[in-house]
Amino acid sequence: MQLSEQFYPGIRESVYQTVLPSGLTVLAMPRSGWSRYYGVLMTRYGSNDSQFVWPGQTEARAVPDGIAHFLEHQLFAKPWGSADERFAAWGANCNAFTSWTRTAYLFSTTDHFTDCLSHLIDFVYDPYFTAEGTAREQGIIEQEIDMFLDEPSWQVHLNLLQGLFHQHPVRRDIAGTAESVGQVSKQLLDVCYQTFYQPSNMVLVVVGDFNVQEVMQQIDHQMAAKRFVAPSKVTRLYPTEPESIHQAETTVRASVRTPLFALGFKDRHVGLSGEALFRQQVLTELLLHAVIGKSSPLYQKLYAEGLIDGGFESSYAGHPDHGYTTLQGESKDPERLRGLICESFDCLQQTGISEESFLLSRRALHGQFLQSLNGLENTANDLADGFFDGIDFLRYPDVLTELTLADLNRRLREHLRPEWTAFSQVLPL
Amino acid sequence: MASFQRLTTEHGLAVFVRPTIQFKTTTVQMFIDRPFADDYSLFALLPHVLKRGNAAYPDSLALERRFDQLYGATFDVTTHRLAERHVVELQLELADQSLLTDSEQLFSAALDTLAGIVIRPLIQDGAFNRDYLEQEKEAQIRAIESVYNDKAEYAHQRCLQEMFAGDPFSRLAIGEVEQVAAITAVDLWQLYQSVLQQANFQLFISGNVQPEQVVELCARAFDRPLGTNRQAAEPSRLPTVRPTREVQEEQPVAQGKLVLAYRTGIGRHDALFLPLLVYNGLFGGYGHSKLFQNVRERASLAYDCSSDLIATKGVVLVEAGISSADLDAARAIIDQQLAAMCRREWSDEEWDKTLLALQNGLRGLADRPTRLALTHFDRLVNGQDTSEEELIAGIQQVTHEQVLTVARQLQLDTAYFLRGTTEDEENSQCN
Repeated sequence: MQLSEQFYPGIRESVYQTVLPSGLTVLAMPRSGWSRYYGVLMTRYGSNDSQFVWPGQTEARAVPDGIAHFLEHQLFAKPWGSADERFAAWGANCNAFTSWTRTAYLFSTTDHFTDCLSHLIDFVYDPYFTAEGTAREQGIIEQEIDMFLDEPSWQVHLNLLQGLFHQHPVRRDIAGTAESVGQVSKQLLDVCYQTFYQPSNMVLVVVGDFNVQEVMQQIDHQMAAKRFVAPSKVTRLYPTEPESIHQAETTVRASVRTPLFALGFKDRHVGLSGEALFRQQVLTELLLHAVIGKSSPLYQKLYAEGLIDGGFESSYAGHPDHGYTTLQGESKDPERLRGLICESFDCLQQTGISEESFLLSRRALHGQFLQSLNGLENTANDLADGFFDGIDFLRYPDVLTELTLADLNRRLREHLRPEWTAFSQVLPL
Repeated sequence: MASFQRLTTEHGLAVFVRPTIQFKTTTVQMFIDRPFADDYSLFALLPHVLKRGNAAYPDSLALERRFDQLYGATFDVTTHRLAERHVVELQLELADQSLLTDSEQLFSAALDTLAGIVIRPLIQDGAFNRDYLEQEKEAQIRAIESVYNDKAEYAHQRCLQEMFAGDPFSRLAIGEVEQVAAITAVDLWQLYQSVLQQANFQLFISGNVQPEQVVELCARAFDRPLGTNRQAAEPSRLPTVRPTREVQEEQPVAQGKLVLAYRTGIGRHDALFLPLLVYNGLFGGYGHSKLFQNVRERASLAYDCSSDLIATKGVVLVEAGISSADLDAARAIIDQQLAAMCRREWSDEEWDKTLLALQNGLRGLADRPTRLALTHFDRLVNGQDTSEEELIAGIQQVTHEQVLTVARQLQLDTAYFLRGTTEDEENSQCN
């Protein structure tokens, strides 16, 4: 087994990597002194992957919306019970999540780490989909969909995505709808599983105070005993997405006291991966910190006017085929808020961001990255997620130091523009 | 395992230090606590006004730029209710300065900035800045109202409001709208003065630090006595016995929220407290628990159905998101689980899983510096001096008979249901 080590002097940590014969990549990050161990097995498959070439076929076909998430639920079903029950026997927590681009199965424990790890690998690579199980799951998932429908913060965000994008599947709810979920069958689950749950399309990340050699050997041994079909290429089909905005404004009413808003900027600069994509992600985070972070005049003005509160957030989602910035929160006057933000960005386009702001923001992001490493699970998830896009998440401080003021102002001028803006709000009844 | 060393500065400030190199950060938490008094909204508002500006950094922009300069130090203010105490927590998290190449003494600078926020306020016309006050009052009111937006949180609060009506425990730690609206700059300034005199101040610090050095830096930063006239804390009061209350409300939401509050009569110093923890774990605390398995897994009635323990009140709270048409079915299943617990119907496997999960949670605290500090502080407030190891050992000693005794003490106090009026009736499933 070929094990390579990457040491990161800026954080005094190492990550060990290997690719197993089955195609699975394993990343192990030993963390000295930690009581918890964490393992996450992730696939490059999410709700966006609704059209792809099925096994044994040549043309791409669609599957019902929400099936990736449905599959995630169903993978826990086994003839002997639910896979998460065994984790409980070891005092471990087990969970899973589906996003637009990834599905992940994970556990966290302070004891029986090797048992938990072994079980994680076993249950994910041993699907048991049945017609009865599928029918029973539908009820639970319908409740989950309803639960999210009642969350105004989810609604305002989803409506924003629908405003930004004409066709791209990111505009659809990850869990689908009651109707689409009703179309999920055992056969369709098999198709999705066979396509996306190939080890070569997956990554396993383990973190904790363990012996790397021993852990890697255990994983290697266990995967070697399994039989996998020869890896086949995964061909996904995404609809052609125009650069323009689909719908500039969306307003709905719901049972809320304070209005919610989401202002988004669609990224035109797409088609990146690896280092280039990572740079763009870090650069955009730096940009958002400088223009609307807490230490920006704009943020303080909006806060002083009572137009935003401590719950206001800005973030950038950067993927190889699409990207968008979201500014989201609650506001007593979303229209006025939007006006002030757009006006300020307009003005900044003329003046540019100052060197002082740039340096201060860069310093802040460096420190905040270090703080984020206290999140054992989130760090592991970021490592796994970034892996599929060729991004080494722990190189964040290195990428930061490479960025220049010119980069920042270029990004400001290309990205925060009114032409690619959509606005969504949820108002009281 | 993780523990704090207690030291005191020359001005009498209690400082709890946990030296560790496990993290890439140093965390500083200042806890200020006082009784949950009638002027609680002022106390909840105070830290928000303090953080808007002080003598060294007179406005938020200046203070936030200062935090940026301190390598993006994260500053947060939270309000808690712990036992009968109202607590304001000021938390500062910063990168470990040994990972940075800058020459500034990051940790001492951060402590100084924090101290400035707490004890060197911006004084204008003998009180707080009026603009800051009005803006923070508005923000506070919105925060209180936004509890309404999160339906699960709303239902939770409403149930507690009904159960503890007339008792300070029914109050939201962040305040009450009318009370907040009436606050004047002078009121708040006077409250601040009394807090400096009478509240309890404690500092918790974790990270790559040396205790002796820390206490010296704290003495320099917090260079005056605090809370010299504090009063002893009241012991926690358990809810009184009374007939069950049924409360229902309606809102145009797609999913109903059920909250059931049970009295146990068991306080934190009670011999049955640890058995109560085990009971809650078995009943609804984990994925393997009776509630999750029966309401969600077997009956598919809810995405989530669980129970939580309000330790200071000995109250077990069951919460579930269900379709309104399934209310009776869900309550029937929940009642069946309660009855099963009263008949000692749990397997050795369920028992072992619960103990392990409790152990896992306690052991894992060492990995979460700010949560660990809050937990230790919580124990101090409750007059307990136990470590995680002692708790784990105590839990191992809990017997099945003790848990059975606990089970038979549960009494339904308040049943609250938020009925959804925009649901598709066909979506419900009754098994």
